[in-house]
Amino acid sequence: MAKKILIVDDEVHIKMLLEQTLEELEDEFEVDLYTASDGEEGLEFIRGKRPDLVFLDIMMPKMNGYEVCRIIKDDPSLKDVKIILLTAKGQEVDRKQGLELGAMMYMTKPFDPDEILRVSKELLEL
Amino acid sequence: MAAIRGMSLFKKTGLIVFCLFGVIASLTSAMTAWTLYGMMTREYVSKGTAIAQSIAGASQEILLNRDAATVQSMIDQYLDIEGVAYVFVVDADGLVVSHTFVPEFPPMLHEVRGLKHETTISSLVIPPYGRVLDICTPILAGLAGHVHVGMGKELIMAYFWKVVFRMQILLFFIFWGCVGILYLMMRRVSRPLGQLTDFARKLAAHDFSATIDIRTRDELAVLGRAMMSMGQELALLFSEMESEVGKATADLRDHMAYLAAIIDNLADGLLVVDVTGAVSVINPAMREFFDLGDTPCKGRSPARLFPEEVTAMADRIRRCTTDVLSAEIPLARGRTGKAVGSSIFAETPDRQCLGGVLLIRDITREKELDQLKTDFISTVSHELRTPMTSVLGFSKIIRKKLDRAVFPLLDGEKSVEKPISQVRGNMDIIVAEAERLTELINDVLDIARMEAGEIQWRDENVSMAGILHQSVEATRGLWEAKGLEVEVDAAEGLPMVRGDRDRLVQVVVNLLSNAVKFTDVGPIRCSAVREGEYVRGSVADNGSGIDMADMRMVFDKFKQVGDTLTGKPEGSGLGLPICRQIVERHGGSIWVESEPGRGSVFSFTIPLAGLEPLVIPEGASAPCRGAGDAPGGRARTSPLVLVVDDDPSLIEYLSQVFEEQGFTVCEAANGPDAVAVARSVLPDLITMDIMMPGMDGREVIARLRAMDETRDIPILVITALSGTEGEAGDMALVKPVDDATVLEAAEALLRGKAYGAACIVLGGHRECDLNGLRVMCAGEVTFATAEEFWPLVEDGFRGTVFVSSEVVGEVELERLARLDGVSVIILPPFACRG
Repeated sequence: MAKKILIVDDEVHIKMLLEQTLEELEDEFEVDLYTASDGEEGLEFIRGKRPDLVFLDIMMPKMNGYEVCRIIKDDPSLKDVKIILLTAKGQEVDRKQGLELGAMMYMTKPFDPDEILRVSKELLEL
Repeated sequence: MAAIRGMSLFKKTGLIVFCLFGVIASLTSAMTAWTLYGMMTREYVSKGTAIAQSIAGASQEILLNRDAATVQSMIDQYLDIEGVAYVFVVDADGLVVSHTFVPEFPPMLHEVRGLKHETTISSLVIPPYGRVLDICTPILAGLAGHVHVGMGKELIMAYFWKVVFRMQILLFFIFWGCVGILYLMMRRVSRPLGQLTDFARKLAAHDFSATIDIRTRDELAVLGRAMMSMGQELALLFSEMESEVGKATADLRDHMAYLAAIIDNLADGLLVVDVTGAVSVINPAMREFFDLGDTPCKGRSPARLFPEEVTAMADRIRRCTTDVLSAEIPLARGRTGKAVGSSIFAETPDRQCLGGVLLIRDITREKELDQLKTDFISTVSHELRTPMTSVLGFSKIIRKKLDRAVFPLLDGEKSVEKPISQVRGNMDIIVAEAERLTELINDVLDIARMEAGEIQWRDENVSMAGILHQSVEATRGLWEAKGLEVEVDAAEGLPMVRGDRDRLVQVVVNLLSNAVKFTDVGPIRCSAVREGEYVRGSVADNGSGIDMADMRMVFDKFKQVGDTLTGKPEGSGLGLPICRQIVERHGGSIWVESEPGRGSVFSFTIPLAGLEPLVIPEGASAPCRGAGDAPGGRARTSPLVLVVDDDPSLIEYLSQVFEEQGFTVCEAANGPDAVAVARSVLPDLITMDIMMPGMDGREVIARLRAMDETRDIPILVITALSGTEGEAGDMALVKPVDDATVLEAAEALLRGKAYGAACIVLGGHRECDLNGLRVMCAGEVTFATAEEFWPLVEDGFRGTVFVSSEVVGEVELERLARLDGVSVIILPPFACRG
């Protein structure tokens, strides 16, 4: 069954970058890539499609990444959704807050595409 | 006059003189009268005798002739002599011959018989003569009879009384004369005395204008002069004193006015509370901060005037704490204040506590600026990082795609070989520069955040050797790529330092990567040694070194010093300034020693752990006491209990119960403090009240459970709220509690933690099957060999040790079993493979 990966970011270029990076996963997995431009759209998708992995930006219009994270964490039916927070915020408190809210990973921008690939593979194999 | 009359001295003297005079007068008159009486009596007797004898001598013949008429005429003439009452003559037979009695001879005289040869004297009472001395002289030895002469005694008595009377009259006059003289004398003495008394009274009433005028030439005058000069002296002293006091009062008034002016014009709000907690001083700024207007404040409780935060602080500082408290406090009209409070102690040897002083500064503007700065950093962070992500990410993807998909297609095409290698080189440059730019952005943001105080510093005991090792590992890629070697030399038994491990690693990594950058042959040496109250970490290289002139600049921002031999080194130039920020934040210093061409040694010092007092979170009082080691350290010998309750007496009670058991006790009186203290000291057990003002116990527990470092701390709820048992915490007791129950519960929880928290699997086999046993290892599971195990235990490990059956023989099981808080489980042979 194809793995569903959702990218939630309001920056078009970052979405493109992630898409292009994650396309390489197709060598090993059957991957369906989806994108969303803000928290609400992302959350709607997550509820509807139950993706395996979500790259979630924190600073987004309408609903920020922390809120999305909190809602997913509070919904038992979504407990299998793995979240990687991607953010330009690099402070220790942000990291802690993100992990407390149940995110699997916290990666700061700018990120290394190879690192993204490595982490995604690990999480999808779990 | 009245004064004199009123004088008891005068009265007393008068009385004594009166009595004395009376006695003398009585005795004198009695003596005189007695003597007079005796003398007159004798005179009468002799007179009477003479008369009797004269009659007896002259009347012998007459009597013998019985010539009564002659006798009669003879005796009659004697009646004229003073004092003679009667005369009569009797014959030898006792018959009266003649007598002078009128009208008749008293019969009682017949009884009186004379002697023959002697004159006899007898005292008789004969009416109407009264008392009479009867002198009887014999005539011719009684042959011719006897002559009786009666001397009237009444006359003597009349004389006697007359004399007495005169004498009394005389004495009376003498007495009153004496009294008069005495009075005059007394007045002469008592007038100056009265003057002295008046003078003394006036002096006592501070009337220094009074004078004494004593003109007598005696001791009183001397005394008067002495008193006058004393009065003048007193007047002088008094006026000096008055002027001194006046001056001091004026000074004091000026000083008070000065102080009051300072206090009133202070831009900061000032509040002073006395030991009872009542407001004693408040300045206009403080009134303005809390919109108090002209509300009377003095003597009132802060609780009626200020918000809860101020009241809580005021309450804490009045309790004579030596801590300086600080907290952010909401002011009126949405402003924010920073309050700093401390107790006031008198500058006396016993340092009496006078209450507390609270200073509040309006930091609204600073907060806004701070927020602006934070927002700026946050925005810049985001705005720079996002495009950098695209640049770096896409360039890497492009490079990869070119390498994998495009260039292979063009393989062998001679015409594009050069462009391809150029494109490759250019892509490498883009990626490298993007990475350098990213590093610069990271460094700039890092230092901006440090300077803005945005960084949250952890405060824990860390090992410098560990930091060196971790940093060397982290930079392995760098130095291995350059073919260098790194040696680590950390002294044995190096004490722990206090700090933020990640930040200290950042320092050493920075120093190491610098060293790698400037060194071609190596090796690079990392070392750590103790230096007094610090541990010094050093990174030494034998690279290009730094010029003297440059050495001062290397820690400045954007000052990069280059070396012509190696070309311009890459880097932001912010690494060392960041290192300096971090080291200085830890209370240490950083410096470099270098010789161009022979290498550099970068050294920094970090204070030892346990030297500084426990860092107390803002607003919390000194929370810990007890027999145990310094709290906060990981290696504790006694359990550390955090007691949370808003009731000070219950805190005191529970603290004593735990202290008696040898536990170290930390205290927190409200929710926010509890969270702060728990995070800073990481207690082994927390007792939690539920009903607390502000943040209640449930919320505190929820917060503690939400944080990694405090999640596993067992919590014993002690609450007055029955029915909440089991709702929060690991165990609950309902107030009132007794010490035995509390200790039993606490120990059960501590045991549970110790046995359930951490596990060591002894034998070093990662293949050991812990299924089913994992439940006992809520905490981390460590795999260790027998050699690695004992140091862990000595480091304070408490928990469960699983011993694989193969290594049972190598372990001193008895020693293990004796350890407190360590339980041993021997795994069956099939549990471990390999």
